[in-house]
This record gives sequence, structure tokens and C-alpha cells, in this order.
Amino acid sequence: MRSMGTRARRPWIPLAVLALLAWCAWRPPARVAALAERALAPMRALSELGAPFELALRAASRPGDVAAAETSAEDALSAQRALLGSAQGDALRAELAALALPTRPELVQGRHCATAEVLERPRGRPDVLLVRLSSDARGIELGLPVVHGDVYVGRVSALVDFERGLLEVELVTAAEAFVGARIEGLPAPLAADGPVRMTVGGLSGARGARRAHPFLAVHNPSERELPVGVHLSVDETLTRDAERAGLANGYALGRLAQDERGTLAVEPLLDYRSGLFNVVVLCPQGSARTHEAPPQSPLADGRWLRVRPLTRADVDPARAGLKLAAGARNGVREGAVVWSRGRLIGRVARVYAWSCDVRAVHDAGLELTVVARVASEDRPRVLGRIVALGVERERGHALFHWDALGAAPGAAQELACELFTGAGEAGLPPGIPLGAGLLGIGAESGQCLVRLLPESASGRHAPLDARDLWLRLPEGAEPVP
Amino acid sequence: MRRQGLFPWLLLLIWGCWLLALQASLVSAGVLGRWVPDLGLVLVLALAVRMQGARALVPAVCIGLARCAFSIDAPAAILAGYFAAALLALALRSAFDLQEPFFAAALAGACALACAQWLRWLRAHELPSLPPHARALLDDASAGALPIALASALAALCAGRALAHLPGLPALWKTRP
Repeated sequence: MRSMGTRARRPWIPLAVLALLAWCAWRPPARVAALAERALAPMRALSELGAPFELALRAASRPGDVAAAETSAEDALSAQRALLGSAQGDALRAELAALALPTRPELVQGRHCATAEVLERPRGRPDVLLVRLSSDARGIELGLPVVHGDVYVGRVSALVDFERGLLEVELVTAAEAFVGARIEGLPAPLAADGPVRMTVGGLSGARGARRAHPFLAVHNPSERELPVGVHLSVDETLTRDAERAGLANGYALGRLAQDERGTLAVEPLLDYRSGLFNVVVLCPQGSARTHEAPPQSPLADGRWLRVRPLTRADVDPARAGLKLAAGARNGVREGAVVWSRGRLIGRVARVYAWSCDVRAVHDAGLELTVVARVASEDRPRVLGRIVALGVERERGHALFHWDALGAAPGAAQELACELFTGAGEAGLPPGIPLGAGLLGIGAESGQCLVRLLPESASGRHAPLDARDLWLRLPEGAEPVP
Repeated sequence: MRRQGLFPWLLLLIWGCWLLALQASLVSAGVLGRWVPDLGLVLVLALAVRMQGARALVPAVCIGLARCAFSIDAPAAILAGYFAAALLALALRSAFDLQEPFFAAALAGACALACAQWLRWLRAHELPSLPPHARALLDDASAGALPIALASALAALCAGRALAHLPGLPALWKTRP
């Protein structure tokens, strides 16, 4: 016989379940999310029930959506060749590496420049770069300065793997980073006692201040009343390790400015958050490091897994994604890239035991680091991080928000370009094409857009060929034979 | 549950998967644009208004899991949306005859609108901070949930009763004499 208390509690149980589900959806606890991903492992069986519809879609695909017989991949090797060919990886990466080299002869004199590609930022440490040299780490020492072009970036803070040439670079934006700086070209009264010196390092401004590209903090300036807009350069002649740190003397830091609180700060010349794809480690001439090997393509290591789509689209028209018949048991990791017919399709967002969810490149909120090859420019343009905004209804363009560093207000312009993935993000190999695009530099500062044009044959974005669909396996995975 | 009692639930799962696979195919083909009905939700509500007691909530879980197999949205978000829709149906059926086509369509439209808005709100919550002009473009591109709601209402009006009578499903809600 049920008690009155039991009967009275019953209506609240479904509401409690609903509240729990809503909480897990809004702020998913990591442990619960991991448990849920394991519990939902058999979900692949449910996705397979949709196979008749997938087959019908494949049969009904228009000719423009399906790869021509001569380009469809039959095995991992030919798919890899197709990717390398279409990715233009080697040429683009060589150009990006060249962009990182200093341009002024006096900045190269007496130094050996060791180029390195940015792989990622270690989790939880946004001011540190994990970089890879073209060969081993011979001649590299802790504390050596790191630059990009004629601009100071930071210094070598750790040697991760000598044989593979993996280093950690602490950026000048790090809270503990300090570099000596000087201002030159000041009017006579200010420069009467010699150059104005200060220390630069860390970020300036109030904590949480909303600025796309934060200013660098200034410490202990020898003069307080300084005009904004003057240029700062590195000057480590007064530091303890002047011989090593002094290799960066003369490299630019930025322009003097004032932050939100009116304090002196340095407006950077680089996008330290997401615009660093290649850097250069400055070594003293006469060190053990005398030459640099040509960079190897990260796409030629065979770590590509051929996959089959379980679905081609999400049930919600506002989302862009698909599910693949490969999961953690196949070595798939979150963030892995998926490509088809030589183009980036998307990135893995969620991994189950035998399946995974992929967000397409134009799914709203997806972030990518991107390089553009503008038709009217000789050198590739590093765009840094872009954020997908969805597909525009009128013209069908996929829109991306772009925080263009140094984009001055002026006449609006639109530049035709080819878009490629950039470096500096874990799991995202550089040089994979996204497609044809338009760089929109707005009339007002900050209003910059990147438009990805739809595939001309189908009018859609990221069309995939189910017979030519590949997923990138993580570092350490066995190459697929 | 007795063994013969599990078979209708299995059929429910299969029918749910097929309906959602059809829905995903319609989105992929682009024939309906944004006017794609939430067929899974229509089925959940068609059963919830006919089943007795707390059992009426079970289809929401089954079809919610099926939707997880065809969507990249977070499973907890999908289950919360469908569960809430089923709870609403349970709460309203004492006041309205929700098996009447008009009321069924109104309920399906309202629930589809709410579910779609719930998922959009969660996605907006996960977005990085964007300047106002980018937010405006994002809102415009994502469009409202109204097309889905109206399409779902139409689907419930035309096919709601038929969905509840799919082979094997009446065993879930028909009471024995």
C-alpha cells in the first residue's frame, strides 16, 4: 500500500529529471560528459538504421557533387597525393616560413636564423607556443630570443624534444615575461639624458578589458611624460645575459599607446593570440647550428584514416555537421580535421567509442586559423583566427568574423582570395584548402569579414564525397598502410 | 516489463530513427530550405497524448536518443528539449483534447519552436565574444525557429494521427478492454 508521501513526491521526479538534463546541457560537468559519451557508444547502431536514406542520397547526388573518376581516391596513398597536390602545402608553408624571417640586414648580421613552425599552444597556457624546428634542436639554448619578421615575439623557455626539434616559446604577452626596450627618435628635451628606456612584458589594461588585440604592459619607464605613437624596439644591453638576450636588440615591439586606464602601454604589431604560424629563433653566429633543413610537409606522414559518413547533415537546418563511422576505438580525437576531395570539410567536435560528430567549417561558432592568398598580393596574408557566423541567405556565402589587426578605417574593400588552414592550433595541419573566398575590410574599424564562396557546381559548402572522406589521426598514431 | 512488451519499444526506436534519417535527408537535399518539420518531436507528442501515466514520457527519451544519432547537438540538450515537450503534453491533456488535429498541431508548433529556441540559446551561450555587427550577421544567418515550428505544426496536422498508428506502435498506447 503506497503512502501519501510517496504519491505526493511522484510529480516532482520528472521535473527533477528535466532540471538535471537542462543543467547538464548548459554547464556539462566534465565527468558526466565523459560518462555520457561512453554510455552513448551504441548510438552508432541507431545511425546505421538511417543507411537506406544515405544510400538514396548518394544515388541521387548530382554529377557536380561527385568526384570525377580520375580524382577519386582508392587508397590512402593516392588520397594523400591528392591532398598534398591540392593543399599546395609545401609552397605555402615555405612562403609562410619566409614571412617569418627578418627583412632588415642589420637585424640578421651576426645571427643565425632558425625557422620553426608553430604547432599549438599547450592547454591552459595561452602565452606559450609549442614550435618545431626543421631539424633537431642542435645549437638551441634556453633564453634565446624568438622573433617574427622584424618584430620581437618572446624567448625559448623549454626544450621539449631534442631529436624532433620541439621547443616551447614564452611569448612577451606572458605575465612573467620581461624584455628591455628603448624609444628612439624622441624630441631633444626628452632625449637629453640618452635614450628613454623601459621594460615591456605581460598584458596591459584592466582585467577582462574587451579588446581584440590586448596591449603589452610597460614597466619602469625612465620618463613618464611620453608622446603616444612612437616606436619601441628591444634593448637588452643592461640585462644580465646581454650576450644571448642582446641578439634581439633592434627588433620592434610596437607603438607607445595608452590603455583604458590611461597607463602607458605598447600597441603590438603582431596578432599574438592567433596570428603566429612561423617564428625564428635567433642563434649566435658560431653556434653549433649552421644550417636549416627544408621543412617537411605535415600531411605526408600517412596519418589519415578513411572514414564513412553515417549522416550528411544535421536534422536541424540551422546546424552544419555530420556523423562519421569512426570513433575513439579507431584513434579519433576531438579536434581532428576531416577533408574530402582535397578540401577541409570540418573538425571533430565530439567522440564516442565507434562514431564521432563533425562540425562543418561553416557551422556557426567554429573557429579556425586561416591564411589567405590574395590574388593581387605577392605574399600570403596571415588572417589568424576566424569565427564562423553561418551561411548568408541572400548569396549563400559562408560568413566568418575576422579580427584584423591594424585594419584602419577607410574605404570598404573586398579582395578575392584562396583560403587555407593556418598553423598554431593542435590537430589543424596548415595548408589545407578551404576554397575561394573574399576578404571584406569594412569602412569602420573592426568590421572585417571573410566570405567563403560556395562550391560552384552544387551551390553548397563543403560537399563531401562519401568515397573520398578522410580523417586526420593524432600525433603518435600509427600511419595507415 | 514482459518480453512481448519490449518489442513495441524497439519498433518505436526504429521508426524514430527512420523519421529522423528522413528529416536529415531533407535538410541535406535542401529541398525544403529551413521549412523542415521536427518529425521526431511530432512522433513524441503523438504518442505522449495517447499513453497513460508516466509511460508517456518514455517515448521522449527513446526518440531523443534517436535524434542524438542524427544530430551534432549535445545529447543532454536534445533529451531536455524532448522531455520538456512530453511533460507539457501531459500537463495540457487534462484541459484540452490534444488528439484533435487542431490542438495537436498547435502543441507541435509550440513545442518545436521552444525546442529549437532552446538549442539556439545553448549554442549562443558557447560562442566566443563577438562584436555587435558580427552578432547581427550571425542572428540573420541562423534565422528564427519559426519555419521549423510551422512545418512541424503542419506535419502534426496532416500526419500526427498516422504516426501514432505506425505498425507496432499502437501496442504502446492502446488499452486492453
